Amino acid sequence: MVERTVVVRNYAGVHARPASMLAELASRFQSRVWLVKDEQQVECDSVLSVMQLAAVCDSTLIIRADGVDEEEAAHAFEQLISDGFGELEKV
Amino acid sequence: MRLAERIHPAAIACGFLAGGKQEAIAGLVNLLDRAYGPLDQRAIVRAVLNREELISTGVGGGVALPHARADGVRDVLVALGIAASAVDFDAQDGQAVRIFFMIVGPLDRVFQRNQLEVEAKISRLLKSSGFSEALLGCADAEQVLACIRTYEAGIG
Repeated sequence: MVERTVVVRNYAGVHARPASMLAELASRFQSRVWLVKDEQQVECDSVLSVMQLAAVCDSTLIIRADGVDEEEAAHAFEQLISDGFGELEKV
Repeated sequence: MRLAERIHPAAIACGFLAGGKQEAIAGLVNLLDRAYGPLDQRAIVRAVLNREELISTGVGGGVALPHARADGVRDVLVALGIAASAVDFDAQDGQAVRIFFMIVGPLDRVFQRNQLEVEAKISRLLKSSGFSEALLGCADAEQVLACIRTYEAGIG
């Protein structure tokens, strides 16, 4: 299992669209991927699961990936979240 | 934040009727207007449809969460439509939708946190086993609110 810590950078936070992107990204890997915020951990297996986190801008998230491609999965998640889900230009 | 206290009974429609995605969105915005209006319905419908173009909010399992932020909206507004017959909504799993939670908030970023909290609460309820089935069995707004109250108490 690998872990990465990442900060939500887009000001809208992890709303429905980013949650969809995360769930879609998870489906491309064989590893299972979880996100942890404060004490709450959700598996990125569906949009609804991810949205339960209510991760606002500047929230710190821990990415946990476990499986054969865990390194690649964790890296891809880190990148997507750090890039603000492509929403960084919007104010 | 208690969802049951945020949804006006007039913003709930059991036996919600819609022939397709666009009609469903217009119908939900109409519910918002009825409960919290007057609102600029055309502008909100446009904002929600723009959002849908990025990615469908049909999140699977017969549920959709169409949402947007729009000018002139003063608070995070929620409407709930429970359709008698399922509506094709281009859902991510291809399944037609019967439960529609619409969430429309102000452009002001101060409300962003509220909107995320509302979305998170709705997601948690929808992930609760039996909640969707219970909603589908409700006959009117009072029953829906009672159902939401019960499940909210269950998830704390």
